[in-house]
Amino acid sequence: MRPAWRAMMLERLDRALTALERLASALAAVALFLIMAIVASDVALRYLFNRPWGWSYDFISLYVMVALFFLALSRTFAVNGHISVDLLHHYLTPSTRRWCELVICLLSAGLFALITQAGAIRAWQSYIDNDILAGVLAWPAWPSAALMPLGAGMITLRLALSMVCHAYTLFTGREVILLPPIAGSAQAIESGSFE
Amino acid sequence: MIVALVIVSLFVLLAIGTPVGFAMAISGGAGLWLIGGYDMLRGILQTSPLSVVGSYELLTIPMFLLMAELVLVSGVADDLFLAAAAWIGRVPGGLGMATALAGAGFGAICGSSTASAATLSSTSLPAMLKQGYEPRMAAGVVAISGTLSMLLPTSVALVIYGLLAEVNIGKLLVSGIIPAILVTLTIMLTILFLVWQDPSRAPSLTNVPITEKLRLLKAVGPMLVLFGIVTGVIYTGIATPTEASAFGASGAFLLAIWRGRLNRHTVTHAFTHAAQGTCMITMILVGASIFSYFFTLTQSTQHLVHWVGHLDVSRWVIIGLILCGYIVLGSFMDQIAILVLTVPIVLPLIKSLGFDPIWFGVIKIVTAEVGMITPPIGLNCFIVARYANRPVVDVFHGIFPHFIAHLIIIAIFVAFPSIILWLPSRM
Repeated sequence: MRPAWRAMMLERLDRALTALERLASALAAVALFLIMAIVASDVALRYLFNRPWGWSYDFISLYVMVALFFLALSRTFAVNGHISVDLLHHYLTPSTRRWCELVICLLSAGLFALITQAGAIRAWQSYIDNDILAGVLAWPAWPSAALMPLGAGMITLRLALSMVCHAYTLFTGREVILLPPIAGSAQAIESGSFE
Repeated sequence: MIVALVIVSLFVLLAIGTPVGFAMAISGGAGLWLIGGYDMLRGILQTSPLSVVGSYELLTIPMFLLMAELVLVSGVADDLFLAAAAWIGRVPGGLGMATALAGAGFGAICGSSTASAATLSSTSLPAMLKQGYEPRMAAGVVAISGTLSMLLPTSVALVIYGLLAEVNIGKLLVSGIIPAILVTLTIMLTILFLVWQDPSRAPSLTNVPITEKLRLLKAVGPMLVLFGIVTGVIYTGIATPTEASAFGASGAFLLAIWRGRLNRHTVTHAFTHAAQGTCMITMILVGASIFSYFFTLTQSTQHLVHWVGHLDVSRWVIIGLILCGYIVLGSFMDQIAILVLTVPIVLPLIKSLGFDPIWFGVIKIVTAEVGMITPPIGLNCFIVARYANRPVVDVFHGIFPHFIAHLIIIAIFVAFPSIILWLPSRM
């Protein structure tokens, strides 16, 4: 295999995964809109007509919030949205920083792989058992449970890919993935962080 | 032994730059594996993320983040500063004071400190520099005024504290109002003091005709409405803070539409950005919940509380040390990370010493404000430096008088708890 071919392979994988993440992230944004619309209209209906939706509380905390979190998880990592303490990184050389990233991706991929597996078992079990969540209406439990392995699985793939890309960059010197920006740098402010 | 090992591994993971939520989940998970085996770890991994995400009060965070994004889109901040400048621009240091007032007004409807600093940087900073203000002083005022949003009722930081400390979030949000007013006054007094020392630092503005003043006052309307539908609703008990936050986000959404600022691009950006912010904060809370399972099972918190409880020193010495620790931590760590890492351990201690958790929360947030402006990491200073196109050292220099003033106001809040606790007690 020629090195160029491998780099192209990594780039294709990244493009495919990014497309998937963007779709999931767009759905998370829709979930956010739904939360705003449902809760606000629920309160308005309760006070104006004394007729709230009734299902909104369960629906939002069982499905919509869960979707918002798990669907945005991987994309947020890909755009360096998960905050970290990067004080030490001010003093490290780029290659040492890459080794750090490699370790971080490896351990995190392990964690999310476990969560994916544990979540998949639970979701499958509640699908077979036809679990119902108590509430005003009988909500099926499995769609909520299935979002966990879905989101965790996506970020496991992203972490594994980032890890391979960092390793590839370290060993070939060809930069296929950028290091995350350091807090306070022009890059970091441009990408817009949170407090 | 396992506890020490897990804590060391947490700090190593944080030091090499692991995202905070991931680091807590990894080290906490490893600890659970060591004390309870794989089955226990799997059980907790199965339930913990869903139980954190499924808590209804968590909704307040995405709603306040969304509200902040939409308020930014609507462009209300520019008008707020113009109105404040027209009314008090003639006073010595008037534009600086107008910045503090605009920071407070904007902070009342936008709960993100960095967003606030960025907005003020793009409006009030150029105005002050054009008027001939000393650049260091101008930059310092902007950086500190941005932090006011952490204390006012749409504050994301206060909600995170409330979720972690399990206190009444409505009361907590309301308890920040009077301290926020006092902090605003402190900033204004600091400016007066600086101008009194050297009047050339801040030349006065020429007078604005009264008709123009009244016209500009209209800009304050939308701000008051948004503030009213969140804070008023919480204070009067018409709706829970969670519902009020959704009201606030809808109000900001309608405001952005009314002002014609909403298009496909801005809408997508606001919603995606708020969704990712929510995801980041939730991930930290999930990590913290996994870590605290481990901590609870090993009874580490109780041991610590017991140990400190038997120290032969005044409780005021202990709270003083804790606050000093927070200011040091704040100089190099992210504020949300500090909250999540420390509150579950420090709060039981605070309660056992007989302090009020709501009082402590507000003081903790004021120390967090200080953390946003202290070197080397003070995020607001970097933002202002970038907008002003000046070295960050200049901004840190300009912030120094405000840093001292903040330490004094923190001491006052510690000495007189009723400043913080009076307003929520009337609810």
